[in-house]
Amino acid sequence: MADAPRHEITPGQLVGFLISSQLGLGILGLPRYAVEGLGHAGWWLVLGLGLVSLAGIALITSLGGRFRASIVGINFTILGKTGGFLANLLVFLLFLASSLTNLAVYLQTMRIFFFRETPTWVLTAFLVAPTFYQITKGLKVIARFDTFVYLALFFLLAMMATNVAKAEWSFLFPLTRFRPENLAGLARAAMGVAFGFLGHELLLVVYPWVEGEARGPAFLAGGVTALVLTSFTAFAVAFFGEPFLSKQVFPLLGIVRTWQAPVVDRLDIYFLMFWLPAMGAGFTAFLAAAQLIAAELFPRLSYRLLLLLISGLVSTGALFLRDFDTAESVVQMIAAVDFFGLGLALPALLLVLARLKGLGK
Amino acid sequence: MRERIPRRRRKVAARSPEDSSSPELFAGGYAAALARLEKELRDCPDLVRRRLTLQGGKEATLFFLDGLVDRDLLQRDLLGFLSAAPEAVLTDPSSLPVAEWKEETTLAGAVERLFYGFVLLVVEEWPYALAFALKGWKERSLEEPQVERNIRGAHEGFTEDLGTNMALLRRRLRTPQLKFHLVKLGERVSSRVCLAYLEDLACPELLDRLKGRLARVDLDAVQFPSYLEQLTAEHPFSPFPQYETTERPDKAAAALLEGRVVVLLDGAPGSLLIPANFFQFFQAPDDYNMSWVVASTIRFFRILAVFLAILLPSFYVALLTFHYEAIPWSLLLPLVAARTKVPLPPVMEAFFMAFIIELIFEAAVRLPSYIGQVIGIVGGLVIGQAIVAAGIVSNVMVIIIGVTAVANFAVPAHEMSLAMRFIRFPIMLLSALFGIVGLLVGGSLLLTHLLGLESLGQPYFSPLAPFRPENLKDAFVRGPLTAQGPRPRVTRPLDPYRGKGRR
Repeated sequence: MADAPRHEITPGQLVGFLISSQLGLGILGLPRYAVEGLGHAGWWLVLGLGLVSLAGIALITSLGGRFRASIVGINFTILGKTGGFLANLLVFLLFLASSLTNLAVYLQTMRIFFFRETPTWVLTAFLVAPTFYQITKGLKVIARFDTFVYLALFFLLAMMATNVAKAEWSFLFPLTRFRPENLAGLARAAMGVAFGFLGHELLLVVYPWVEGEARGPAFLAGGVTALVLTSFTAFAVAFFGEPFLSKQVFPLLGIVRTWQAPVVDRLDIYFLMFWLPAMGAGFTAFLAAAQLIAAELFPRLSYRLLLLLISGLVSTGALFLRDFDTAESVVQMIAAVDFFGLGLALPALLLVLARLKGLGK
Repeated sequence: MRERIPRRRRKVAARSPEDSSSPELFAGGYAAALARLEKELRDCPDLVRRRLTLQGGKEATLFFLDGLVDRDLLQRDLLGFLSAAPEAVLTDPSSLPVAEWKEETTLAGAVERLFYGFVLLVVEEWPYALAFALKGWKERSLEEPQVERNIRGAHEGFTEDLGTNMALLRRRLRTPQLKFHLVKLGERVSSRVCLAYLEDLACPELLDRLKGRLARVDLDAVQFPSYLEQLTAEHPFSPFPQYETTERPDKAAAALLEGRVVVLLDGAPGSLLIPANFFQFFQAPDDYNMSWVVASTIRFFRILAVFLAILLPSFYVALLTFHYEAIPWSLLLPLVAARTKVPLPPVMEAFFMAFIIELIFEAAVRLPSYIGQVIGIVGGLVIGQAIVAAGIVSNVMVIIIGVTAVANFAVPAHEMSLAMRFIRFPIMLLSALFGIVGLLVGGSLLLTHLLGLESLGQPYFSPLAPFRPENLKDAFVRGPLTAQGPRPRVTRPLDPYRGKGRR
């Protein structure tokens, strides 16, 4: 823990860190995925996965509380040297894949809304630069930066509140009737919605860096995320209606484009000014997690050299996901593996093994 | 193993007054001592020697440097006394007619005393020289600092004399808890640096950390307080000031009461207030001399000015280059009309105008005040009008850059204002290349940089990040004095609450 001063974060900062990593990018396409699975009642799916995410948080905090170590140390303790190394390598690759998918979604959003003509490599380098700089500074600076996500959250809530009159709330009724034909697509929709909640598994990495109690703040973050995502999905259904919503690539940005105010007219550009850093925060959180794992796995390699390698790898990978449909499929697949595998199955398995072997407190 | 000292260091080490290997002044007797002093101070025409014969017939010589000693005191009080007093009286400290005197046995010590305004008495057969403090040099009167003017409150400022500055602090904080720690820095020329702090408030760990960093300062001489900042701050490549500077004793005293350390340098009127955080650079002494409601409004305007000074030109360039759809029609039409005759793209306009303004600043600062004002008028009005008339820059851009310049000067701390002037250029470039996203990426990099900065190990962006709500009452606003109970946590004060403590 030689790096302790630059990675230690407060429980309050943990809340901002988790919310920004989940909300920033995850919210963009979430309502569309939800209605594809359960129709107008898709918000139930979001709520359900929110509860699953909270269960994941419970498992990870139990594991973290038992060992007070990151997933790297826990894997080595429970699975031994070789097994631990292989498991850690897998965890590292999954976090790397998550950061890659986050960057891909970030790039796609930028391409669609701002940079249709800009070469992808230029855009990638440009968007990776702040993340790279933040990670060189350490988890502490990243978490401090993430506290500004509350501004973005405030703008989101303000936008929903001021557009309430434009929403047709009857689109949400009947509240509990799911169309049977959509039940088959539920699994696919859940994969998409999982991307919205991707982020709670970051706790596996950052848990030991939290100065003080992490369980409560983690639950708070998970609860806020579930509440915001569920209410936004319901709002998006009421705003667009199910058929139109399923045609929206990024419903959030669609709603924002209709947001107006006296004198300045359009507010979309101002909303994006606050939301873009939140989007970047999601990518930063995953890349930082991958970096922290790599730094723990390969302590002899320089921190900056590792970061350079990892950033280069992720940036190059993102260049291959230029096609939107391909990117979306990959994103959903990786999100599902990360959400259910890293965020649920792995901590549950490790907890069982720890109890069987009598390891940890 | 013997530590290897670089050649340059070995040479200067012999000159250090602290060095115990400095030659004994009196080895070889009186004549040898005089010869040593003469040799050391050869080619120093300001050195005055005065031979005396004491009662009892012993030879003596007085040495002093012209301009550093009060000649009236010397002639009226000391010379007469030395000629008339028996030798036994001279060796008795209580009978000497001066407030401060020292015995010096080394050459380096004796020479250093001369440089600090002492009169050196070397007497035949004595094993030491007597140094009398008769300091008396031309000193500037206590004036209000030019760059830190105040409407209400005190109007005095620090001077170049360390003793005067220490007294100014002592007059404001009449408590034995006010301590001064003197250190000498500089390998070739010794400069006195004084660390002032309140013993029952200042965090000992931070104080030790600062002392440790000062001990590592390796310079020929310390001429300006900013040298100390550049050599001891954590992030020397940052454009942002990491220590606050002031020439105001009232501001320095207030900093001491927050548990901060004030660093004074002999020969410079500026002092450093350590540690500092970003928001302290927007506080002015006047804020605390008026109603908190008014002061808060003014403070809020100042913070707004920061955003304008850094981001306004970039925002304008981004909107006009990439996002004109975000500009309301009623504003877009006059903007387009203003730009119809301008051949340059917005970013070139902005850089051109900002460059002209920077030149005007520099010219105005270097020139005498009456010419500086003329330059301001010529630059601001005549050149501005001519540029618009010639169609090189639109009148809207002149307004934008003008507002930016005014906003820059609304910041009370000059060093912060300079940093903001520098930082807006790269953000303007990013905005020109990537529009509003460029501005945001630039802003994110800037914010990350600020969040990563530390002043003496304390977070620079506190109380916002890390979030310390109890200190927010003196950040964006100036809350009522009754609510200013907690001292700033960045100073880690020994007593965290003002007054009688937490009620």
